[in-house]
Amino acid sequence: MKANLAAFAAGLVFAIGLCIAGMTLPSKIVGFLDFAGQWDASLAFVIGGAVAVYAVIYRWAARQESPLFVPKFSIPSRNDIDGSLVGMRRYSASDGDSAVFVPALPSPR
Amino acid sequence: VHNFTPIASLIGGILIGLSAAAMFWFDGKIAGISGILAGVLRPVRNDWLWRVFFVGGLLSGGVIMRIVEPGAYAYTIQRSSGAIIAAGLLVGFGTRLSNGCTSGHGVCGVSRLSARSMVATGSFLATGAATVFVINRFFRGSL
Repeated sequence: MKANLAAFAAGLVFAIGLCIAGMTLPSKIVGFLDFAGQWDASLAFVIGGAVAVYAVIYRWAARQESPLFVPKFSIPSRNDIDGSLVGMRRYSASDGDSAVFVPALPSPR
Repeated sequence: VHNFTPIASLIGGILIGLSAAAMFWFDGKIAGISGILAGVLRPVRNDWLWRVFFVGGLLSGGVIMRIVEPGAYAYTIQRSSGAIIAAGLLVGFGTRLSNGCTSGHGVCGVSRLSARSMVATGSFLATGAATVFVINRFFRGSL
């Protein structure tokens, strides 16, 4: 139950952070992506602040034997760079040398 | 409306980082919102309830902020309902395709120095910027 309550609290803080950061406003997102217009760099401060805090605590926590409220850490193990990561899927020709990339559909899991 | 908000955005970002860090230290989980929500909608045994609590917390935080800081919701979207539905579907589709969104890949993955997440985050930014450019330049800012 502690783990679930921690998840609730984390979700709560996450949402409050998003709101304070201005990330509920579509104009802030579009403004950040609008490099050709009047660029709004705010989103970089959101990501920068989050990454700075998370990187430090993550590195420390990952060295602990286990998380506080559950038996073990669930850390993503994949490190392959595949086409679907960027919305494309690779199709190889039979000779294995030539390949084409086309927009992908999610594979059933 | 463009107003640069470095301080508020930095404070919000720090809160997001603390929240994601708490998810990892307390529950051992990566705080990827799209993945967590996907697991709510497609339940796996013994891996469901914490997701419901997290999403419940997110929604509760949104409700609280709506009362405390109505400015966070002071916007109008000048799009048809169909466009908004299509946009929402595309966000869900794309985040599942790349196995993550700006929280899981952009915050957690980049912090963990995951090459996958850096590629994914770069593609979010590049395609987002390209879309904004095309819509503004060729479609007068709206579809």
